[in-house]
Amino acid sequence: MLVARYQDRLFNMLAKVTGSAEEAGEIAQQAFVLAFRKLASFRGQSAFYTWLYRIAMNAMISEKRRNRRQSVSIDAARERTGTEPVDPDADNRPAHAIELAEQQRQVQAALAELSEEFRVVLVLKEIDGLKYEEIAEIVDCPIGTVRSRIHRARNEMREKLSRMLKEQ
Amino acid sequence: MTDSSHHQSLSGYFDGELEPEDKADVAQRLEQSSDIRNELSEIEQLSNFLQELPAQTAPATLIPQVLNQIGAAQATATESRKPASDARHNTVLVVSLLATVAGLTVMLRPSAFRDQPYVELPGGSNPTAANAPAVIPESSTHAAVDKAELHVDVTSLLQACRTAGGDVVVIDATVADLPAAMRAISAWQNPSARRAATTEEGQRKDAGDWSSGIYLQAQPAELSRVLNTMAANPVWRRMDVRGVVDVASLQSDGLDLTTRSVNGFARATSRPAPTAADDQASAVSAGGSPAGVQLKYIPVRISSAKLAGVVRPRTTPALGGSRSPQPPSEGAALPARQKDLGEQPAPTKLDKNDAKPSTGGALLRVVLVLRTQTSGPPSGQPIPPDRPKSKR
Repeated sequence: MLVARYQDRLFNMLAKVTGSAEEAGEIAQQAFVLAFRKLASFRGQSAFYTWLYRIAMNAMISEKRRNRRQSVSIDAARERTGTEPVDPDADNRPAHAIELAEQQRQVQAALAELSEEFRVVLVLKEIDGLKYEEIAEIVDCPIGTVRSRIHRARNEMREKLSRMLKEQ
Repeated sequence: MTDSSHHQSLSGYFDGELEPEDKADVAQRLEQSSDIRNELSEIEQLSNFLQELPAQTAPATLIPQVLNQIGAAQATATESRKPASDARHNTVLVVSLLATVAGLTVMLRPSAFRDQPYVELPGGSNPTAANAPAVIPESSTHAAVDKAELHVDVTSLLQACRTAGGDVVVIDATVADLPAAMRAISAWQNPSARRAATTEEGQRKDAGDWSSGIYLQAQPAELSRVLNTMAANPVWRRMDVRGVVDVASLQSDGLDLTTRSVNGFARATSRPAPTAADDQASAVSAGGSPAGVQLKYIPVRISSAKLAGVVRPRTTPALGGSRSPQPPSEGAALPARQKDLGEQPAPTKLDKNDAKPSTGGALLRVVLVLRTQTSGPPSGQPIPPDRPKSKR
């Protein structure tokens, strides 16, 4: 079933973009229902997940407009999602686990501070591994705009994480 | 190439999104500049950081929630693709029964898509959800059906209709089987109206913002017959009087119930003027096509927000659809007017407590707007909304 196949991927992307598992769940649900309703209009010219992501993006924008939700701090997001960046082998490598957790906290915080339009394209590129063309289709803008946004999003992230990047 | 575009090209280079010529250019600059190599290294590190963020999996409740919502929407979506609207899944049926006349407007709205706006009345403003008074509490429909409070009280509906005098009584009804409900509504129409409806719907199928409308004219006895026919169908679960609107306020926004042409899409058929005997006969007739019915089919555009915006609270007790299957006693709600109207064929009170939910049916909000008038012009003539009422 399509929901089962795509739910984790879609949910993870939405959770990264919204910073809220609760919000991601609501939007994912809306997206799947809308996709069902619009299934007849899917012409197969794009991959199904691209089409689904675009529906999810529109649902997210609508949800944002409705709720006027602001970007939450990473601490607030973590509190809401209950997600802690934990290394699976943390028990065996406590020092590394702490270090990795702190690194992930900083990355998530920097990501949350990006504007939504930058955060969306960066997540779609880096976490979902989509091509510019696919991202352009999802966010409904020219490829050149996607290219520019990704570049600027990376620049902002590099500035925010400059100390961490230099330590590597 | 500017310095900015150089940097942007570096990002594209990392993503493998450059044309061969640009890619070669970046590769050449990478060989020549350690700064550019450092920048590319940082982009790569940043990418690694992002990809190392813990993946989050969807909650186990997501699939059941999606399936529930789709299941509820499936029947309505299927039905809405049939004759009338497509994109918005809204259907508007406007049925007005006139002559000592009553008008009846039916708006159908799949509950699963209630967050979508109705089509706006032409020329009218569309109040926002925030400032539009709610005609129907959001919780009422589902709660009513879930609790199996199945009750249609035609007596109460007719009382409201026949005593509201010139205003429009808004009825909130609930159905659980959209296709069956649509067939029931279709049964109200004569063949000419159905053909006209089909034609108009076909022509305007792609309009998106369009919803179909049906306009009927009939004697009061016909109203009784229609309501009884409707109530006898198990798809109708419950009806509640929700409020009263002023006809003029609807008409000022383009909903013209008095002419043969509304929004330029009128279709009409006429029958011979009725006689009193016809009225009586049709009132007790549960089926067939009673004499004295003038039928118009008129596609209209109407928004729930607009309708909601003109509804004002009733000053009389709510009629019908209560937990109690008993209708208000004669004269309890609006006694004087009822007596003034004289004896009419007694409508049948139908308690639908025995009705069984339709498996797989979709909940649907139905708003009936019953227009009443204590006297009317000769059959076939338009009736001004502000016509002074007179006793029969």
